[in-house]
Amino acid sequence: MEARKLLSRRRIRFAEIGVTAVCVGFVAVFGIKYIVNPYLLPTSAATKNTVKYEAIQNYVVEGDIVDANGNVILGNASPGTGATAASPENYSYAWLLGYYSVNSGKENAFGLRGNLKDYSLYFLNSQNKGATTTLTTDTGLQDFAYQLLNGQEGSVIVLDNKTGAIKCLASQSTINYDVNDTNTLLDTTVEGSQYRRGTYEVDPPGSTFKVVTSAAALKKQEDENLPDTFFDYVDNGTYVPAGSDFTITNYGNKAYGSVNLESGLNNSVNTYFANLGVQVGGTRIQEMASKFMIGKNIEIPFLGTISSSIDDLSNADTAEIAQSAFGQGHTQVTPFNMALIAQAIANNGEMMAPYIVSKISSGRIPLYYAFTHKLSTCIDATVDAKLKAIMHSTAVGYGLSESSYGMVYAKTGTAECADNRIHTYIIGFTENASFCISLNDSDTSTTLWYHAKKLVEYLNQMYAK
Amino acid sequence: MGLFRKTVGEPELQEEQPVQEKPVKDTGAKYIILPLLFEMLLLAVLFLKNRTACFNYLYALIPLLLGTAFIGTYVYNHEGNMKLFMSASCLTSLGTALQVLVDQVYDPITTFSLIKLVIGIIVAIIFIAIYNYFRRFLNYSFTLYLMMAVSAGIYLVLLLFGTDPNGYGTSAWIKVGAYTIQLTDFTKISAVMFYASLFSVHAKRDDKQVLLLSNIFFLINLLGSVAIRELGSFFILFFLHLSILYIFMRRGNKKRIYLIVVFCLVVLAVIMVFVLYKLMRADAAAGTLNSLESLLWPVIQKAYQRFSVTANINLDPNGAGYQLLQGKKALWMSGLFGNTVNFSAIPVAESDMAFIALCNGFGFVFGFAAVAMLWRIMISGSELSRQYLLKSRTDAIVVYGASVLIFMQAMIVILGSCNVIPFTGLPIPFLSRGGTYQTIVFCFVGLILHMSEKDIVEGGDSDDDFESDGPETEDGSEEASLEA
Repeated sequence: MEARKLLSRRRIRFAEIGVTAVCVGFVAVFGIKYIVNPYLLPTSAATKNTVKYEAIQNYVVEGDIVDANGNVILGNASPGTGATAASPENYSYAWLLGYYSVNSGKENAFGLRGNLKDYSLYFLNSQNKGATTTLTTDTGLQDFAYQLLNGQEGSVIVLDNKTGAIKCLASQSTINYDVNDTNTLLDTTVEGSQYRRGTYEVDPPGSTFKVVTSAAALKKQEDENLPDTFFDYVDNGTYVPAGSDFTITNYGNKAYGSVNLESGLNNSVNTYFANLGVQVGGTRIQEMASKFMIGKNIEIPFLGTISSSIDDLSNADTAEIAQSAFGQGHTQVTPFNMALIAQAIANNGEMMAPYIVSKISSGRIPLYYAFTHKLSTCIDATVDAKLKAIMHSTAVGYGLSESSYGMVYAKTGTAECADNRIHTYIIGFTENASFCISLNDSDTSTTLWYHAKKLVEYLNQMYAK
Repeated sequence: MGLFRKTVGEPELQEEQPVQEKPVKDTGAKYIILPLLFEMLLLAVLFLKNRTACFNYLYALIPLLLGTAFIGTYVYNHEGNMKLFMSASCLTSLGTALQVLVDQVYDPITTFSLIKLVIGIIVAIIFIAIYNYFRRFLNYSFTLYLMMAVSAGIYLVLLLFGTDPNGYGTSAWIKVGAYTIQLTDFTKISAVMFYASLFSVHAKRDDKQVLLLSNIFFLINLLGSVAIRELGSFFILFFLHLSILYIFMRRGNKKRIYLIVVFCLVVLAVIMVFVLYKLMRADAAAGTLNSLESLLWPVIQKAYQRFSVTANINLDPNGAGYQLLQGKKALWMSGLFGNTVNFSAIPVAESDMAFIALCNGFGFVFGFAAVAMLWRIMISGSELSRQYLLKSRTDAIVVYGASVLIFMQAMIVILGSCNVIPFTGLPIPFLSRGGTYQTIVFCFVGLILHMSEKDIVEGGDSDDDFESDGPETEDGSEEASLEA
């Protein structure tokens, strides 16, 4: 009798173990399959979104996307058909907005619409409408910037000096992408046409990098208490780095004679900055570049990650340091990174984390809110003030006089790319906004002076309102 | 000898000091407070999900809070199992919240009735009161035959008067005035009482008698289920049958052989379903089935479809697989806190697919919490049964049987709706709609709670007062003494 009781009790214990194993196994398997994997595995996330999309595609109303002033950029969606943009935003915003679709169990996503799908398509209110996304952009500025490009391959990026908010990011590829007609993007056979200019392409920064070299040199002067004569140099039109037979020349093979930091930047003297870079040292240049986020990834929520690269200059030979110092060498950056460098200098040396989505809400329920935060402290106030002064005089040299345009600071750059393209840039800032105008296939950066003047005029009017 | 010798120089024993008892920390009250908080949390969750459902839940919240407070206090005062109470209470409120949401979102055939829920709880209280008197009859031989007769009678009544009000393809309901009652659910109570009586120490039945009687009862249920085409409830009774025999029957060759034979028969039955389906399909399509084939065909067809859909969910996406396919979609959309796309195409969300609707509506957090609470009920019942085994085998079987019936049905339906095992269309304890079944569940859980009360556990007669019904086996006793 006693033995039977004990055996029965033992069998119940076995059954308990079995029951526990079933429950734990069920929770583990389903938890991993339906909760964990969609976060970790892209294939699982695609399956999840495919299932959702196919189930809701006949009744979902895509959420609106509005600009900072509340103007609808993308809207007028009805059940089963996607939202559309009015003219000219269907072109000016096309590369920013992108698209999202699911075909044959495959997820296709690009741009803000691709990254905002969890809110604009998969978070529906009682009327089956997705959440509304508010961007930081100004539609007037965006349209203006797009028109400024005038069909040329390139980008115009404007950031708010204090917050890092993207006020405009206009792109022009080698095709005309209409956001209302995805086929204008997907059906193209033009090579290299299907990416957003400004945030994706990495090319040498050209002379715009001289700003970074200048910052590193000013920091060295400050740290080591060097006299201003540290910046003096006599240019004879060429510079041969020690230990190499590589000759660096100036644009147009000019010789500038006696040069200091300000005149060197004003005239964009390659030989001067090659020499200055060698004097400052590879380690310091690389440290400064790193503070300006070159060689690091920069995340723009809902838009993507900005990449760049720079060689290890601390162990580089003199020739490479010299080349890198004036913006050639192996340094590769995006125009957006250059715009952020301008923003950091405008904001007393503090680079702010860039963002384009300011908030997402479903009715009165807030789902996302962007908080501004610092990305990097690049330079201190003393170095910043000196840098501003020489960038201002440089801008005046471009015709951005104080009397006509207010306080403007700028620097151009011309990069010789590996595929024989000339990529030109102008970075700069006003009291309120920083910018980078970039033409991916151009002749000379002097053509960008006109673009800069027009953009500054528009910005001054916009901020005066 | 030296043990009791007083050592020279040993200090005299001092006068015994009153030992100060450490105050025992009483944490039982939290098992009342937690369900109360959980009920209010569900109100907040529903407020975010659906305002109308939230207001409907608000009406239900008053009786839920009162019920939790009163019953919880009763169980606490009687030193019952508070963890079990908490699980049952949370599941009841979760089921209520789910059902009010289902009404607003998933377009069910019927509307959730709070009155039925309250009636269910009241019936359960009355059942427990009656059970106190009925309990002593479990040791009488006639109870065994009475329970067989009750089960057979239920199937006979359903065969003659059974209806299918919701079009589920079974005749498991009878109409009483304006109400429909799923009579098959009562076979579960009779089954528990049958097995308790079968293994009564007083009856002193040998293995042959146990196997014979249990198989007669098993056959009554099998034939009755086939006749009314209600295989779901039969599966639950089948698992109860196997688990009770495995745990409480003497160890020996008869038991071993029996369990192996049953296992082989199950495998054979599955194979037969596939073979018969292939053989009868053409005749069924042509309408040339004979009378026996006509009786078997719906069961075979149903079983074949269930197995083949489990093997390949896309086999018949608009027919037999539709329900499970929608369920799978719903699970993909669920996320931690429920779907955000207003997905509502879950068939029978109020009953068979209640777990899927729970995950879809409230998220996997609540779905997994429900599984954890059902597990808690099973473990509490098992532990109580182990406790009762030392005293009264009949009570141990009642408690264990009730726990198994709740947990098994829950897991069979949950795993079925998630397409892990062949799907059986049954309600899920606490979560599904279905007045009769939920009343039975309240009866079972109330029974376990009642049996966990301290004065019930410690009171009553003991099996040890009666003659033994024989050793475990020739080798069993030895093993047991080793274990002891």
